[in-house]
Amino acid sequence: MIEELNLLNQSEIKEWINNSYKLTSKCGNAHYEITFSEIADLDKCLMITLYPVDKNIKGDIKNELFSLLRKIINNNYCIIYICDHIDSKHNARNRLFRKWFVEVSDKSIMRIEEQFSEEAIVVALMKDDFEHKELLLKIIAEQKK
Amino acid sequence: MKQLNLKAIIEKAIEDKKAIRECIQSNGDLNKLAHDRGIKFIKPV
Repeated sequence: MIEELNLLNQSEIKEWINNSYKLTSKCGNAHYEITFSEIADLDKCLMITLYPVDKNIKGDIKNELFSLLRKIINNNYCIIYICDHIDSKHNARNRLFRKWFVEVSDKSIMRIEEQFSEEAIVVALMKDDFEHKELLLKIIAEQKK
Repeated sequence: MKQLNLKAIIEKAIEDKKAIRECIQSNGDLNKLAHDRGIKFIKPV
């Protein structure tokens, strides 16, 4: 799968400078910065942020993004993606991220989606054998009570 | 992991996320943001 994705990738990505990865869209016109930051008290869980440098210029980064995410997840991290309501597009953002996941991910990565409030949908991506998976699932379940 | 208030953690993460977006789209300094907000950026691979 990784080899297939590499063949699909047309642009150079993943330069890490000043705390973020720099990612250029396939056609080269859109530039994104991706950050990963630790989440307090959640071991090996990283919050991802992904933003175009110019919010008006967006492009196709699906393959490059998931190629990077797969490497990180295989390094035994859980990726936490928060779809917030800042522009009232959290549901659309979640649907897009889910669509990308279905299109380019593989069965070794599991996806958990949880609505924490009206303001946020939280998505977790991890390997099925992620070392803190059971604990994370337990915390999420307790939160829902 | 200890007993956690996941909602509080997520709320803090949402605020951090908003600050990161504003910083990136205003060509700001993520190092300074990390220092000011106590965000620990990491390079996982």
